[in-house]
Amino acid sequence: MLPRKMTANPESRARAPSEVVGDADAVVLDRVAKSFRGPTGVKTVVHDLSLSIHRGEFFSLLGPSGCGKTTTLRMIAGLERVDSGRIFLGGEDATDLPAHARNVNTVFQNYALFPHLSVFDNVAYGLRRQHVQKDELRRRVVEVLALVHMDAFAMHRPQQLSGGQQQRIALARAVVTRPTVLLLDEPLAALDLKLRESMQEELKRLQRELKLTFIFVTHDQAEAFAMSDRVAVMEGGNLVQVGSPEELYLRPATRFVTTFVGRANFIPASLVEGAATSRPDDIASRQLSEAADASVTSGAEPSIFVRPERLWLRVGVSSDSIQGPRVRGTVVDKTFSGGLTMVRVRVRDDVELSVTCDSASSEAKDASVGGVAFVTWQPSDATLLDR
Amino acid sequence: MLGRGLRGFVALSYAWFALWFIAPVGIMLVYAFGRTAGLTQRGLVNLHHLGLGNFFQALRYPTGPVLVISLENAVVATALCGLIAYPVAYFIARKLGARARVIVLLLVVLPFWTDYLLRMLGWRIFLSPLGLLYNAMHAIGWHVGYLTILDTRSAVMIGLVYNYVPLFILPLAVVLERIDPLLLQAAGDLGAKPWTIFRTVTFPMSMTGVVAGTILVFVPMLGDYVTPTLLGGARGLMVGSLIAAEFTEGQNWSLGAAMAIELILILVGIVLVAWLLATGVRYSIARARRRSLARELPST
Repeated sequence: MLPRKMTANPESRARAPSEVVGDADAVVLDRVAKSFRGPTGVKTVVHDLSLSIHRGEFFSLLGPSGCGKTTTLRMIAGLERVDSGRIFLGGEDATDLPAHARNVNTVFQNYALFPHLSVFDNVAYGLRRQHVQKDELRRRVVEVLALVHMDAFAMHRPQQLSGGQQQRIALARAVVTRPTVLLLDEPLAALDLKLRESMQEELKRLQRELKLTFIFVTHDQAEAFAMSDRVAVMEGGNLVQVGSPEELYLRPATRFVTTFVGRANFIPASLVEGAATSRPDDIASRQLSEAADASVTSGAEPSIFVRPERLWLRVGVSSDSIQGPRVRGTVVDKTFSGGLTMVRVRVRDDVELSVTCDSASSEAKDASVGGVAFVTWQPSDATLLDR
Repeated sequence: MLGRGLRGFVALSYAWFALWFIAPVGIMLVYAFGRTAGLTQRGLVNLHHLGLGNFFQALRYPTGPVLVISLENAVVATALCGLIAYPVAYFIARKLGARARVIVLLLVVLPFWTDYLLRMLGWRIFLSPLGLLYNAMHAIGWHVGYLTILDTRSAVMIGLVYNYVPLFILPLAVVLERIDPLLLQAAGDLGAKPWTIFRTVTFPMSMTGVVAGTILVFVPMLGDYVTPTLLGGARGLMVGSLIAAEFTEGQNWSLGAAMAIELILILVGIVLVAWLLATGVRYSIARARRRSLARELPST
């Protein structure tokens, strides 16, 4: 992340200040903003967004539709002008460069293949713009078509191909000119599940083999996690959190990230019994008891967040026999899904917790709908959220 | 899929169109085999003795030079229509908002709402030797003697282009509007400058509109006789005028019909030859490229 006060010097556009752009950064956005004039007035789609993407990284922009991720991508491509802020590509200020002058290529969501050109000519399009020699051009097109397993379709028209095949051609067309950065705008959204999974692997392989920087836009958390080195979560035009998939999943910064990147349980702190009785030197429990105390005075109820697979179910025991924090509730639903069973426990009229148990465990067998159960967890697996 | 009722309606509209297209051509075809009725006979055409005589007479008819002039006129006027229509259609389809587009398209077809003869007479007044154009040129200090445009081929050309250019603009504007702007962005993203985008994406993708416009304009233009009659005088004769003269002054309907049929055949021939040439060229290019590529891809 960039320091908040950092300003790009408008006098020295050619080269960004070295504090802003490291040599390892392929793309740097420095407080980039964009708004559109719509029927209901001016709408800001991207708020002062700062971000650096490392060279050779598989980076994802993740967020619900309308969060500004595609607009951000289009600004990097040069298809959309920024209202303010600066964009650096490979250390050079590219803010005022038009799309054709940026060494950045895009794979569009609906592929945007040229219908009047054959597959070969589609892929050759970028090379022709660079006036690549005829023989070299043919060699490189054939090479990249082989890379995406589409060499048998060189003379086909895009309309004759299936969605997955068109997807490969769009990829080949974008990588054949060896751009410094490849932008992918939900390229897998139109494919069915099976095809999507195999394309995910293919994209990863391609990125490794070509050693390119990929910036991947998606609203699918699983997709972003499966492929990315780092993920940036966006909400309402703001960057909420940037980190590795593990960091986002295990240490989400906000409630939004928590729910967006997986299933989450929010346990009202006031319901928790026994937090203080667990090891007093445990920071998580201390925080919890402090927060619970604070909630009494402030009125705002903090909650703690635990993933379903980090919760444990205890059935047929008394509260006192359980060590550590726990919540008492009623089993309202039990869903068997093979190796795992999902049990939902109502701990208050408006709060239900999801607990994942091993289907073979005694808890999964003993839990019966309508029965009393305790939900417990390791204090270190819990995160305190006060918003 | 269309609903049953809607499909019936579509079929009916086809039938209606066929009736008013096929019936006149059919009647003409029959007349062409007949003979002009004698003075004492009833009707316009004597159909008791059918024969090919009219077709041979039509071929011997000194239409040759007029036909060549007509073809020249139609080709040049079609080309001019295309040159004028393309930028206009491009502007309408690519530079205007949805609402402005409708208004401008309405303006393009607005002349059709006025009587055709009135518009042609308007051109006569405008182009006449001491008319509006003459006065306007005079006013800006461009002194010519009498304007000698009216009743020449130039006047016919102006009239033809004026009359037919909307028919070129409409299909072209539709095709240009349908081109996905994302394709143009993709081209720019791959390194194409604006002019290159036009040359490599917009223009090739608008070819269907150019072809549609050309056919829509060229075919009726070649048979047009009102425009040359009204603006061209004796020096602006086109083949349509000769055919019309056989029906009116000549009172020889069967000969006129035979000439008309021959004109239709010539037109069909031109379109067919152009189409064959185009597909032939495209096919041989594709084949040559496939062959040269096959050398690199032994697996396919």
